[in-house]
Formats: sequence, C-alpha cells, structure tokens
Amino acid sequence: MSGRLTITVNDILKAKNRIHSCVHTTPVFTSSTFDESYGRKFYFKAENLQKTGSFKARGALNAVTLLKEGESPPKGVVTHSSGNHGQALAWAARMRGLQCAVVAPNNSPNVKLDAIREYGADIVICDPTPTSRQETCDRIGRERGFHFVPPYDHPDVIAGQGTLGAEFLEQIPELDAILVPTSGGGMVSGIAIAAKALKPDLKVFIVEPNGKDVEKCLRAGERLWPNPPRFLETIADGIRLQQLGHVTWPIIRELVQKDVFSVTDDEIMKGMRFAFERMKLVVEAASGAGIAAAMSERLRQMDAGLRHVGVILCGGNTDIDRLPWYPTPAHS
Amino acid sequence: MASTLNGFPVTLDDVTSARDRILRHLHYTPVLTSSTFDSKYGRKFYFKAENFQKTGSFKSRGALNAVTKLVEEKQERVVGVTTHSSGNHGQALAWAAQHCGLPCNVIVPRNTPTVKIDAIKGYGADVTLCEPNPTSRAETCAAICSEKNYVYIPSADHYDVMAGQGTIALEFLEQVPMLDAILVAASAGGMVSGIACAAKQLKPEIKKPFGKDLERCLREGKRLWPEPPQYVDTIAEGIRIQQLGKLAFPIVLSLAEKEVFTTTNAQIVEGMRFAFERMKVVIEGASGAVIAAAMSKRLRRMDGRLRHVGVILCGGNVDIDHIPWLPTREA
Repeated sequence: MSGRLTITVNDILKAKNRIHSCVHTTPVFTSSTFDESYGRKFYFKAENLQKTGSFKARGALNAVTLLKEGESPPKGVVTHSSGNHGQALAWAARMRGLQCAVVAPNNSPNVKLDAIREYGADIVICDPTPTSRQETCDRIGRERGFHFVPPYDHPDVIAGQGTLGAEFLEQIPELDAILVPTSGGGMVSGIAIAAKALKPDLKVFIVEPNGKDVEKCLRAGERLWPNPPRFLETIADGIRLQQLGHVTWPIIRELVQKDVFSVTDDEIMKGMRFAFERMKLVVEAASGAGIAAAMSERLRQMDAGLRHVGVILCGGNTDIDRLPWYPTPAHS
Repeated sequence: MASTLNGFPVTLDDVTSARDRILRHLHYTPVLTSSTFDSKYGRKFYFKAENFQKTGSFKSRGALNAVTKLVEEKQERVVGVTTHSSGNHGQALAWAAQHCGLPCNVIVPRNTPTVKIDAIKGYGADVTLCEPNPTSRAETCAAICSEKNYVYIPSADHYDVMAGQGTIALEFLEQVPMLDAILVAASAGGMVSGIACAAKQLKPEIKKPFGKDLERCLREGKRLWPEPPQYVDTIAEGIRIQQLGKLAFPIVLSLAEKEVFTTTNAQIVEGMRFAFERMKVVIEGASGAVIAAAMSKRLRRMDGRLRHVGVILCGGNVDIDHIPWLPTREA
C-alpha cells in the first residue's frame, strides 16, 4: 500500500487548524545580495524561529493533539531523537498535558539534552545506533504505557510538517521550487503533498549531505541503502540518517524531484555563515545545507524558469559554544 | 512634556516626513517575543529587530533621511558625503549615498573589524583609516570635507539623522501600541533622541555601557564628561563613545528617564548569548547590552506598571569570526 494514499492535503489543512494557535507563522526572509549573486529570487522560510527552534514542533504537536483527542489517550508519549524531534515532542506533550520520555544516544550534546529536560521530559540514554534507539524506545513504551511518536514515519507527523508547505505558498504564491534539507523525509513528504494539491507545477527538491545517495535510489525506484540503517559523516547533525523512512519513501518517489542536491561539509558551513553574517539568523548546519544548495552550481545550471525558489531554514538549534568554523569550543 | 517639545528642532512632523521619505527603501522590521524571557523576567518584552534592517543596523534610517533631504534641498551643489564611524553609520551612509547616486568617503578607526570595512567598500564608498580616538576621527573627516567639498553627515548629532532614527518609534508603536517603556542603547544619542521625540507619550529608558556616567550627567543636568572626548572600554564597539552628542544631550535631558541602565562586558555577553541561543538571531554587542538591561535587577525592581517593555535590537553586525565567547581563530 502506497503511503501516498493515507495522507492528503485535507489532513494538512486540518493539521493547520489544530496547531495554528500554538505554533508561529514563521517569517520569510529575502536577501538582495543573495539574489544578485545567485541569479534568481530566493525566499528563506525561517523555521529556526519556530517554537522549540525547528519545524519539528508542527508534526509533534499535530500527532500529540490527535492522540489526546483520540478514544483512549495514552499516559504519555515516547520517541528516539538526536535533538530536534525530542525537544518538539517534549514541548508538544507539555502543551497537551501528557508525559514524555525521550531516548537519546549517549553522544548527544548536553545542550540538546538540557533543552529537552527543560520542557519536562525524561531522558533515557541509549547506544549511538539507529537500532539501539528503536529498541530502547519500544521497551520504554511497553514499560510506561507511552505511545511511540516517530520523528518522520507517521502520517500525523508528516501532515504536521506539511503545514509548512501550505503556509509558505500562502506567503509566496509565486514559488516555482522549494529546496528541503532531508533526513528521514517527513518534512519533504509533507511539503510535497501540500504542493501537489495547491500548486502542482511547483518542484520540490531534496537537499542531502554527501553519501545519502537519494538520487540513485529515486532513479532506480528502489531503496538501495545498506542495512542496518546507518548515520552519515556530516557536520549537519539533524540530517544524519542515510535512509529515508518507509512511510515517507513512496510519497517521495511519487512527488519529489529526482534531481537531488548533495552538499559537502564545507558547502554546508559556507551556507551557515551566510545566514549568520548576512541574514543575521542563527541556523543549524542542516539549514546551512539548504542555503548551500541554493548557492550551488547545479542549481545555477537549472531551468531559468525556476525564478522564485524557496529554501527551508529548518532549525536554529546549534551549539553556540561549538560553531563549526571555530577550531575549538568555548571554554566552559 | 509637550510644551518643551515644541521648542525642539526635531518634531513629530519631522519624523513622519522622514518616514514618508525613507520607508519604501527600508525594511519594516519585525518585533520578536520570547515566552521564556517573559516568564523569567516578569514582564512582557518586545524586541524590535533592527539587526534585520538594511545594512544590518537601524543607522540606515537616519543616513537615508539625511542624504535624501540634502539632495532635495541642495541638488547639484552636493558633490559627495562623508562621515567618521566605528562601522554601522559608515555602512549606512555608504549605502544611502549609493542609493542617491552620490560619492561617499568614510573615515574609519584602524581597529574596526575587517568585515565592517569590507561592507562599507561593498556599497561603493572610499574608506580612509584614522587613529582609534574621537579626535583623530573628527580631524581626518574635516580634512576630507575641505579637500573634496563633501558634506559631513554625523552619525548622531544631526537633526535629520535623529528624525530618521525616530521612525523606529513610529513603527514600534504601531506594532505594539501598549508599550510602557523602551530600552535603547546609547552611544552619541542619535537613536534615543529620535525615539524620545517621536514617542513623547512613552518613557524611553536609556541603556548604556559601564563607564559612560550618563545618569550622573542627566541628574545634574550637565555634561560632566572629560575633554577631549573618550572611548569607553567595552566589547560593544558600536556604543563606545563616552559623551552624548551636543545636539542630543538637551533632548535626552528633557525627554528620557534619568535612570540609566549600566552593563558590564559579562552582562553584554549574556544578553548576546540569549539572542543567539533562544531567539536564534545574530546581534552585536550593543544589542546584547540592551537585552542585559531587560534582564537586570534594576529593571526588576522598577514600577510594576511597566508591563510592556520594548527592547531595541539595534544591530547585528558582529564579526562571526570574533564572537566574544568563542576563541579566536589564528588567521
């Protein structure tokens, strides 16, 4: 069964109503300098300014709200997360009066764990592998009666992320394309579903760190990644997953462009620096990847008809004591 | 208060005219809020994000108003403009001059961050370096004026510049009509003068770095600072000037509160870190100083009726290779 059939733009519009009063309608930034340098009109959607510092608040709140309003609401929710989804879920749970446990790898930066604890969630540490994350998560769910809310492979999460796409199109109806940094694929799936219904000509592009090989998989029409699932070597800690999700994969295969922007750490850092220096925005490396795609030679060579290009600044949860262009961290 | 204002050279009309003159060339900057900050510091705070303004600081408002008005009034007789600046006004004037098709020369202290100097050149202006003290700035600038017959546009002590800065208050009051107070970083006082004139019903409370002694001057009604003009030792290089300008002082004396918030370097860093970490915006030291005022015990102890407090994030032109809490890279 194709995941495409289970999520529609109506789910996204309902999600919008559901979460509207609690999340920010984030601003769109432009930069005349950037436009002159890169030859198109660019629009940067500032989800770094979203509640909890990333777009993940949307999907988490939609999922939690539906659970709470469901027939037998759970005592709490649980997830595994290197940071942004964990923070978003902790916040969403608190907003709706549910408990929350977050399973985090033992190499998670303290600043991210502290942020999650601040929202009242309980942290459970696991080994830094996708398998350990899932297994620990399942165990906590059973022991505490908590419902698992995954970071991307869930229709309610995808619909929540899709509200981003609907909002962006309201703000900038002339968009021809959107560049989306992608990990498990929740955001790009949601945006693609919204776009397909609201503006079918709009092209949705994936931005990935080198080594994710999504283009190869999309052109073959097959999941070519090795198992068990692995993390990529990249400074963009929010988009480290090599594989797209299983619910997101069919949606992406059907609706997302096969040309994929693949960026290096240096390019990511250059993108991040542009945001800090010129736009005065604190963005995390994954957002830098989106900007890097906008700066890329590959985009430059693309169809000039893509005149209005959106870029998702997906989050701003970077450790400001460890900015990547500094050789050593700040003294504690 | 209204009657004293009628005697001042910057009226509300000047500010609204400035707005008509410059608005379509500038950004109507957003106001940011933080529920975390509000719960922690016990009031509702509104951060006017002038770090997002054209050229990265509010200075473009005053510069564009002054240059545009000059060209309107003097036309072909203006051959160029000049100023001396620690950075933000220099950038703003270079941009405004380019916008109006005029040559521009900016005198800049030799220890100004490279990123600021490059930005000024990026707008097509010439840069002349001087020694890092107020006297050298003034003398080098005067020399350029006589050599090239350029008009000097100061960064603060000029009524058209103040009127331009005052447009911040018009916007802010439209966006947040219930403001009870505004915290404003002050260097030579151009912004606080402009805001005070525009927002005369409000109580602009001044923020300044440690060592400026502004409160003493305001309470005694006198310019008590030593001559020649000094720099204050602070990491907030945008607000280093110790003295308020000669034109600004009487306005500030008349319209601003006598309580002045003072900040140390450590507090400035704390304010900056809050903006970076929680609000996800890049701000420079001077803006960190104002956030520090909002966090201060002094504000906490103030009148509980100051429920809605505006905070001007005046600029974001920090050198990201020299962020104060991070170790500097070797070149």
